[in-house]
Amino acid sequence: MRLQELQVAFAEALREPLEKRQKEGLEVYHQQYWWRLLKTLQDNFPMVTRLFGYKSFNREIAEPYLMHHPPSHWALCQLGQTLPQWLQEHYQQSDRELVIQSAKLDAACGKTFWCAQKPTPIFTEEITQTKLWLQPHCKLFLHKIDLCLFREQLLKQEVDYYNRNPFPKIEPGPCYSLIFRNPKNAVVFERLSTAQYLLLSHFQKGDCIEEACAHLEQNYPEADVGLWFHKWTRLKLFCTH
Amino acid sequence: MAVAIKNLGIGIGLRPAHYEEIFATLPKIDWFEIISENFMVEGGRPLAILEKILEHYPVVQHGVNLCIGSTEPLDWDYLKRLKKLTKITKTPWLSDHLCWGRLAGAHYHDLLPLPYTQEALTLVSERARIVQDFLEIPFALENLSSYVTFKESEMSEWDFYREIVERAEIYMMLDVNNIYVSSQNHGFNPFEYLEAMPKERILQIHLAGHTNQGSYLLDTHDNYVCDQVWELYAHIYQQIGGVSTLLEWDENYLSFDATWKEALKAKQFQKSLCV
Repeated sequence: MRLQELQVAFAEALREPLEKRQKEGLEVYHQQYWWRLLKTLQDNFPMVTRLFGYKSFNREIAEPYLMHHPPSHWALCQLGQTLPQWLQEHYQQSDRELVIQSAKLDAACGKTFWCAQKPTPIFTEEITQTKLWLQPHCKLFLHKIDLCLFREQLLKQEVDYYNRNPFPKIEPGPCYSLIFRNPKNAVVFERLSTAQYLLLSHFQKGDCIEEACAHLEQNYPEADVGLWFHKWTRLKLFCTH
Repeated sequence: MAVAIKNLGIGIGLRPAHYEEIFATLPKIDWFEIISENFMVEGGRPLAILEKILEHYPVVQHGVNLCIGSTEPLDWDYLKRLKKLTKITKTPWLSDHLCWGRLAGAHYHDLLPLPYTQEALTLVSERARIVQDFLEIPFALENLSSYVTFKESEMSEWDFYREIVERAEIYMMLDVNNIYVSSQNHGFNPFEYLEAMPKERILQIHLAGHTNQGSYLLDTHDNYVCDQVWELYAHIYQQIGGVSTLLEWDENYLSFDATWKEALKAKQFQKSLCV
């Protein structure tokens, strides 16, 4: 058998469902393949894993997802980036909305951990006319419930804790939030007011402070944008691309 | 012609479980080995940690995802990122595994074994030479622990390994635990393996623990180095006359201190050799 044929056969055996036994020897690789990917997906989606528990997460989410979406990147931290989209297409249970939004939040937090911090601009008077963007690690969310707080509380306990205990209470929304990496490289979330959310939204696609503030002033004339920008620049949330 | 490679002494693998202890005490350790892929990210904590480590210690890069034996083209995006990291770490050499792990756009995230055939030998040696030329630093391949053999194999593992390294003019990252694990799984004499190694091409040795699963040994890196592996290490170290040695410990972590003590067994042994 030529090398390529042999690798194709080997790869097909690895991707067989976990419950299907392979020949001794090959079975070691088969199990390692699945156990490594399942563990990684659990680590990359800690909130979703807690909602389901290990066993159900593997059976209902991870295994069917990985069967159709084997890793396409050499970095395991990128495993599952398409899981939210897959859930949207395949997960139809009554908690669908919670699960999908949780997966999006987990994926965003994962990406925030490792993506770039671009150089931050120096804030002089001219900066108000310079086009600014949010750092690549910043992500804005609008949720119908307080999902960020729920995630924070959920993650305080190990996965198995929720086999015997109720989930933390979910507070009603709407909730505007910013997920970002702070100067100590910790992934954190910050609650935003509606006006703060609208203002920061301008910088997702790039805008200058002057124009963004002009838009905001029409509906929120009392907004203390100076104070907000002072805080956001201290957190190095902006870049100039 | 092999170039002279510096002996860095004894190192251990840098793992997140030890970060706190390392930065609190700045232990006197010769060097750290990092898993390249863990630091080939755009930003955040991994790069901040690396920067702090580099202020105090030499760092050597060891990778797991080059997939040198895969039958599809080399991943140049991966290689460019890898090279970029070498400029940051100033690693004196770089290693990865003699394996495959990528096919038709899918990554298997494992060190999958190759058949020991002329076809595989030609493929790997050509690609290894290209990788070393591109990276512009000495490049080494590590032997695997394996759990299968292929009926297609035309030579022994040690002949295959030696021939690749010599043909490509690259180096060996010799994992003596892997030799022992494979020798037990496939029934060969590990000393025969060691005898066949071109000693001048060994630039680093890996030590690790494994787990006995009953019908086979599994390379788990979660245990102390066993006596038989120390014996193999003693045998090859004596013949090489000094080479950088690294202890890998990847699960069921001990404290940094305890891990370092296990690694230091090698240092004590090296001193006893010089007497």
